[in-house]
Amino acid sequence: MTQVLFYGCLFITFSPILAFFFMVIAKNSQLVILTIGGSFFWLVSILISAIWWYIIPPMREQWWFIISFSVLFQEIFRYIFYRLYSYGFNDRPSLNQIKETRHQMALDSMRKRKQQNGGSSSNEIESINNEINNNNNNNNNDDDENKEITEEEKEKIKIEKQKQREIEISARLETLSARPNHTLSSAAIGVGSGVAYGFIMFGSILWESTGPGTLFSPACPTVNLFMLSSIITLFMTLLHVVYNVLAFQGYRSKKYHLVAFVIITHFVTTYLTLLNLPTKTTSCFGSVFTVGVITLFSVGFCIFSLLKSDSITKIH
Amino acid sequence: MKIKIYFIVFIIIVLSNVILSQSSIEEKMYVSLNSYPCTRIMTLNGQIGCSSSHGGDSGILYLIDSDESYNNYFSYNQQKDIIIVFDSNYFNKTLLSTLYTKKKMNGALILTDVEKTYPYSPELQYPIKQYGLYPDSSLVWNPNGDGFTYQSFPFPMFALELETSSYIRNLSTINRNGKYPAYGAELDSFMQGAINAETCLRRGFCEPVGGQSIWSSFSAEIDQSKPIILVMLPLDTTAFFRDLATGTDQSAYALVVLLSILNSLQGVDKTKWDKEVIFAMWNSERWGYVGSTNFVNDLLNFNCTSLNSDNENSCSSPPILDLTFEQIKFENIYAIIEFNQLGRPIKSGIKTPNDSDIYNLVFHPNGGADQLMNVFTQSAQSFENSTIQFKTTTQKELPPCSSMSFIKEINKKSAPNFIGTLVITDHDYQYNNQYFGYEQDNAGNIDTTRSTLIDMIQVFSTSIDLLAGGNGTVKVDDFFVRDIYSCLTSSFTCSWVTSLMSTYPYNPIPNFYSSVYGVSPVNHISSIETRFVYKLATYLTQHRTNATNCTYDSDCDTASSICVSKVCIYSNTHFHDAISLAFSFDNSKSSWTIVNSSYPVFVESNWDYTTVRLFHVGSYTNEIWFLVSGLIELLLSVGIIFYIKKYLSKRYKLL
Repeated sequence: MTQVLFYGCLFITFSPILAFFFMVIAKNSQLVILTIGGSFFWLVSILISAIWWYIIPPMREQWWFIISFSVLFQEIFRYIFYRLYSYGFNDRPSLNQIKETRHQMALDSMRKRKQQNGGSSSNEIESINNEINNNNNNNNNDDDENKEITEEEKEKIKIEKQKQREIEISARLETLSARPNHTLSSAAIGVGSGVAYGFIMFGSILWESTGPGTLFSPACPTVNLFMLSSIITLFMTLLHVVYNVLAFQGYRSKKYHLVAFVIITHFVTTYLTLLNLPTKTTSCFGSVFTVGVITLFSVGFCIFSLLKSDSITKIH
Repeated sequence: MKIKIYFIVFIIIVLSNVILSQSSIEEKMYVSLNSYPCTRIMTLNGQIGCSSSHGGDSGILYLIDSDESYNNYFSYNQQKDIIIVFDSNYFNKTLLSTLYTKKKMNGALILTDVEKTYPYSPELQYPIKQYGLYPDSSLVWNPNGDGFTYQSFPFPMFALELETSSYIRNLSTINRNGKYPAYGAELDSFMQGAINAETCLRRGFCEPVGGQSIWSSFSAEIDQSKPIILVMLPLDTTAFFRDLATGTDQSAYALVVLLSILNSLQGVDKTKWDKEVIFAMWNSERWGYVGSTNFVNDLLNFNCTSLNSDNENSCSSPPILDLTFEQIKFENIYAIIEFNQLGRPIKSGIKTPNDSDIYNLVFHPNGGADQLMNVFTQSAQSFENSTIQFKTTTQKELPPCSSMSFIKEINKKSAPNFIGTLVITDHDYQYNNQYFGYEQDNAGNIDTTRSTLIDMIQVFSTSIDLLAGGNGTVKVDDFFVRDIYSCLTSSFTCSWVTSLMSTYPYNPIPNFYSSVYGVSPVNHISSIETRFVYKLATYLTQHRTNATNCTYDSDCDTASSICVSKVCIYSNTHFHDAISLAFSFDNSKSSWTIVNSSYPVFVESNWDYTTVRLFHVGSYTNEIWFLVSGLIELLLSVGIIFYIKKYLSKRYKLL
């Protein structure tokens, strides 16, 4: 019967982040590696927090103490990972940079050929453009335009296409060694830490929900603690992605107000979970509701600041 | 290298923290309750008792404490899985059978905070008729019996102790408002045995029901030329929940009487005794007179083919640990006196000179016991202010009693000196005990005064002394009687237990359920109550002591001696196997087998542990909604990501 509760909690908590992982990140092997790296760095930061908690016995029951240090360690490790990630940043071009360079090179060579052969090569440039933009789509709808081209020219185009394909293959090989774009990379790292957070903090609780019993929140005795923690964990995992994207953006473009936003929000949301403690002045509704609002605001703010900076640009 | 070691240490520290925190969640979710399980017993043709499914059965608590709540149960639909909490008044065969045949139930908890207001016995109307002297009898000794104990149930049942009962009663009353969080319980009493006794023994999941009988004598050695007076009683008791088998009227009261007789006769001059008096407490009698039948059979038929080389008093084939019983000759039996149910005698309506009620005890004679009856009647009359008097039964048959095992053989073989059997009870025909074989047969079920108990002991021990050849001057120790009475009927934590036993009882409720015999003929399992009775009998019938500075019983040199406060106490007190003759131990398979199914076959299933855990139950509808919203959320996030990939990526470019 409480298998229902188990799957309910599982879907609520992990469906956005896992959907993102499988539909976006898993498509790119390097993003997957970054995700794993993100989880690892988060785990190390939590390990350090755990040791910190363990070696100071008088403060073990003082949650504010360990929470502040835990957040601090996480932010430190985020910065360390950023430094590691950006270590060879400028020496290697990103995928877009390579694409643009390829495009430019192709255009340049076409222009040269156009100068040599006269006007007939404008179609070729178009077809090359098409091919570069749609890597796998070789059946272009340039049939109508090529109808009047003679057999000889067709032969020529075929040879050119062959050459272009070779260039394409070498470009894709180079892409594999190149880094995906910064925004997705930082999001992937955030997904890594978010998933690690979800499984470490909620997984052990979640497993208990398969038993016949359920646990009710000490702060509000009518609310199922499993549902409550699954919703909070959902917000927290999303926040981890947002934090990482914003923090990396801030570090990269030296906009330190973004970093400050991340650190402050991280502290605030973490302290809000203390509202679940069983005392008279606390309420679990206060914690879930405010964390939810903060999450929505943070996501909005993240998109807004990405649009404002150079990370997301509109294609006209 | 060092760093590696540090890292491993860190990992271990962190892991141990994670594991600790995990178990603390479970601790917060589940509360274990003190409880007494209904266990499973296999018979030749099937099984009786209860078992949970593997891993336990759970459900929401539903209290049945009124006719209204009983009838509402059939239309109750707040949850599918239900654990019924029975007020003890609503726990009987008729009501329970109707309940579980009409609607599914996952288990039952039985409250003990309120006592049944009507007479009830889960035993049969003629207990163990087929193994007694009159298998075709039409008498009904136990009119309240409905045979509930001998039914099989497909769900677990637990009785709760007093304090837990009122706690659970409150929680299940709260459940009635239909709000959440509600309270539920998980009942885990998985019994490994199944199908029937033969299958279960073959699979090795069962042990025969049995135990150790105790017999004792004041003489250091039984003089084989003297006639023997057997003073005996059935030691074990039954109850639906076997951990609650106090059986005060059923046996424990008579046991108090017998032990007090031992204490009174201890100080009597026994030099003039021209007869041997043997006091015997037969175990496992409620499962087909197992202890007495086994003893009689050993007296008549036992033949040791090879003595144990280490210990001359034990036999290795057939294996038996104590051969002292061979001193008792069956032909020497002179008289049998059995104390059966004694705790609820009826007032005769006559008063003593000092205005106390006189109670009637009833003689059930067999084989011409006139001489015995005369001695008992005379000693009752000779004693001034006696609050007991004797009547002779109106029935022709004996009530169910251990003497039947002896009478069966005496009828066949004839002991030349035998003058008869006398069973003394509190009832003429139907049992005065209204809770025969039920948990409520405890100290509260006794209906006499303390002075009547003292008088009984006085009269009985005087009579036994007279019969043995003494002059009948016996002094009863009031303090001993008071101590041992509360010890064996209310709380098994008295000073006698602490001074005689090295282990402390796990369950303070005195419980004389015979339990299982053991895993092999030389590997016995005895309950602490049986061992206590043995030690107390040894202590009371001691004929020699030796200060050896001992710590354990094994430090004393013979098997029938015990160590009490650094002194070895020697007595002619012995255990005797109480296992049904139906079983024989197969050494090649090292398991019990059934060799003769005309004797009683009862085997008890093994189990690992039994628990009742209490927890909160959440609303099932809420959980369904939560799952549905989770699925919607999944679809939504997939949709959003799909939309972003399909459309927004064409309009926006990421750096």
